[in-house]
Amino acid sequence: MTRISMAALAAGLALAGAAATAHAQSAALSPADIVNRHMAAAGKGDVDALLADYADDAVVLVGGKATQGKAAIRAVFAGMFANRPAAGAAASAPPGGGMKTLAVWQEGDVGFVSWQRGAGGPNPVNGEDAFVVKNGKIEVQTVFTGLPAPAGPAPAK
Amino acid sequence: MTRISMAALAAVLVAAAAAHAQPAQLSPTDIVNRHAAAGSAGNVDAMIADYADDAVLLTAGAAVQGKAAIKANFAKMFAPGAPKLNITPTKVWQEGDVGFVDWTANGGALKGQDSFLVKNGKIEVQAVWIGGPPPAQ
Repeated sequence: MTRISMAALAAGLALAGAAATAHAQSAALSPADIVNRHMAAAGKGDVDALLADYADDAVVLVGGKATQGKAAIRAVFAGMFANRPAAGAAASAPPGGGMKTLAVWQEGDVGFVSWQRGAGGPNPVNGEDAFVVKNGKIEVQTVFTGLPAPAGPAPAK
Repeated sequence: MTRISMAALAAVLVAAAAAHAQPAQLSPTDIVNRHAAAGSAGNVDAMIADYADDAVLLTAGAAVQGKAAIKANFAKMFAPGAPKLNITPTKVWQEGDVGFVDWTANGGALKGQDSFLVKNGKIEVQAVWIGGPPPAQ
């Protein structure tokens, strides 16, 4: 009887181990997964979903400004999406402000997305975001805008 | 005698701890200035000393990860025969944990900005933004 209980306990622990693995899995999305999820949330203007992927002490770097901490980052996104036309207001002003995702890739702990704003217009702006991801959370996001040409993954060596 | 020795020992320990803590408490601006000076001197070892072991160097579309890889990157940049970049810092400032430097290179032909996320006196992340025409190959 004791032996059976022990076996049951062991099986229970093994299941708990499986659950722990499943949990670790979801916390360890790849940087590219995080970037794709981030872009999808941005496309929908879903600030809560956008913020969920940042670490509490995350830093966003763009054009000589550092936005530090999740609360400050939330304020920036909330302001950004508040200025947008309401969803469905005009087919010509899609959520995302005409932002077109060109490529998503990763190198080690860093996920990248290259994009073009005003694609098809007279003055498209090329840019790229890089996300340093540790333990499934964005620690640092840097935004490079005004690149001379669309960025992409480095050619395979 | 024992009491005096203990007091002397305590004083020495305090002094040692203070001396050790001091260099770790440089501000992000201090780190950027030291980094820029080391860069101007082409002193790769001095440049590398300010990076955390797991630091990341980000340029448009590429990530150099870890102190060893960053060192190799700078060593290549300053190797004999490599195109020489005369970088002049034009402005250095900080916001919280982040130090910034605006710079021009080769007499203004190239402009850029670096930002350095500094934690515990070490550079965790450096992002390099380069505007203007890319350097001639």
